[in-house]
Amino acid sequence: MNIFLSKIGRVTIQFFESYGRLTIMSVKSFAAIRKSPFYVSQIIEQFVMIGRRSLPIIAITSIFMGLVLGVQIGTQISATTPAWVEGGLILRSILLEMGPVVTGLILSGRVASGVASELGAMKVTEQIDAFRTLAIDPIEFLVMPRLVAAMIAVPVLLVFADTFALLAGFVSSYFAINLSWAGFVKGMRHVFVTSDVYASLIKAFIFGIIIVIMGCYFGLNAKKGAKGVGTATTLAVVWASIEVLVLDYIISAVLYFLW
Amino acid sequence: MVRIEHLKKAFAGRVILDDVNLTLVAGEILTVVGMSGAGKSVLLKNVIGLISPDSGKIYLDEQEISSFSEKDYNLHVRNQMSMVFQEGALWDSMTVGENIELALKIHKHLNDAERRTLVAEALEMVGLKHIENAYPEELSGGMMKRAAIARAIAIRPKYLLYDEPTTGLDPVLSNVINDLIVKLNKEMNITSLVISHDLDSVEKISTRVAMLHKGRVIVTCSADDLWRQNDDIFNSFIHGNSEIL
Repeated sequence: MNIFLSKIGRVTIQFFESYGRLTIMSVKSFAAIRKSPFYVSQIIEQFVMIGRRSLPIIAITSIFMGLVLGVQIGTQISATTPAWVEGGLILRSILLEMGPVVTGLILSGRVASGVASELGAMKVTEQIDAFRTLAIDPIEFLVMPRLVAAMIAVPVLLVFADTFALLAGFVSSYFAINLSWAGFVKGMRHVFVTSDVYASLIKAFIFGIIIVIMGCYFGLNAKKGAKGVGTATTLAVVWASIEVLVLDYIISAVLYFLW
Repeated sequence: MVRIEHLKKAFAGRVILDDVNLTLVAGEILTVVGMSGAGKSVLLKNVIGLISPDSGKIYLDEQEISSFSEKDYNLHVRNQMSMVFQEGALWDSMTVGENIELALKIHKHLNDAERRTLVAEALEMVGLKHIENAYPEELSGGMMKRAAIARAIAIRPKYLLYDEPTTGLDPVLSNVINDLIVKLNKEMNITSLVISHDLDSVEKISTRVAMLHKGRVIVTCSADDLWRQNDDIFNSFIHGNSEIL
């Protein structure tokens, strides 16, 4: 019993220690944004890494997400409801939930793992220490540019994701229930509210932050060796994905009450 | 001068440094030898502030630095002290030129031409010319170490810490690095603290030698007296005899 309790105590302490370190790193990263004009080239480089290079996988997943939504919603409503309703249902599904969450999860896999493995490899080969010995703050040079890039890139990616998914949703609806473009647009207009777009972009902005912070945190705290880098990468993906889902709920609930 | 007094450091209850006392005199090359795991690298990292001691003090030119914050280390220590890592630790996403240039770009108010000149000078000093555009992965082990030294000296440090600079190099390349350490000491007046296992190197480069054993400095002597010590552990180490160690 004592061993069990001490183990619980140790895990609890470790958990709060980790969250303490994570919070300190996050605060320092945001504080470093005031120096962002000095690191423009790093920010652009990271924008390309996070944004442009994620576009193909975001496009593929969004298109298939839209295709599936078109088929599923179409087959559910076709018997009892006018077909044009499908446009609105697809729009709201994509804007409010599917777009940001799927984009967030895909980027958790691609970006958080990439960042964690890159910084983890730098940590175990003493490249992070090398920054410090030359009085260069690794958070300013490595974390902040990724953070700024993600805050811009992820909402932009979401706009692409939503657009691809809506177009695919229309194509799928056309073949599934013979819904015309005019009908699809009528459905979308019927339910469209601007606040849904804001909610979607707010989610993407926050997911971008959390994905990069998780990748950087686990990368910078990687233990020695290939196994250490592998573990850091796995933890970054797992925790980024969990945080995306948890924050999705929290943001949805908060915005529901606010708006 | 760097003075280390009663330095202690433990990791997860395991004592690595236990009451280390050592002085690095200005202008000398002090080599610290010892078995693997004796705490030599930990000692270097304490001096440059990568890790903090549990107790004890480190002075740089009579100013106590061991209680400095990261910011104070950056302002008062790392502008005059630099470190060369065992594997070089060059940033592999940057070219050699960018590796050397980065600290100059961030800390010195120089224009592009001035920075390029300093980069070229640093590379020339270590015997590497026209490799500014090469990436670390394109360099051999010896070139990598020399490029790492060039990066460290570009900021014109008074003190340079070397963590096993000849490890993994063949005897010819080891000699190149040894000659370079001595050359930097003489021509740039860089006071050096070197960690090494390599007794050939130790003899060639050192002004003084210290042995770290089980977290303590057990012998300090001039390089000339290296083979005339009475300490059994030290003699076992330099003769490669594992029985006493």
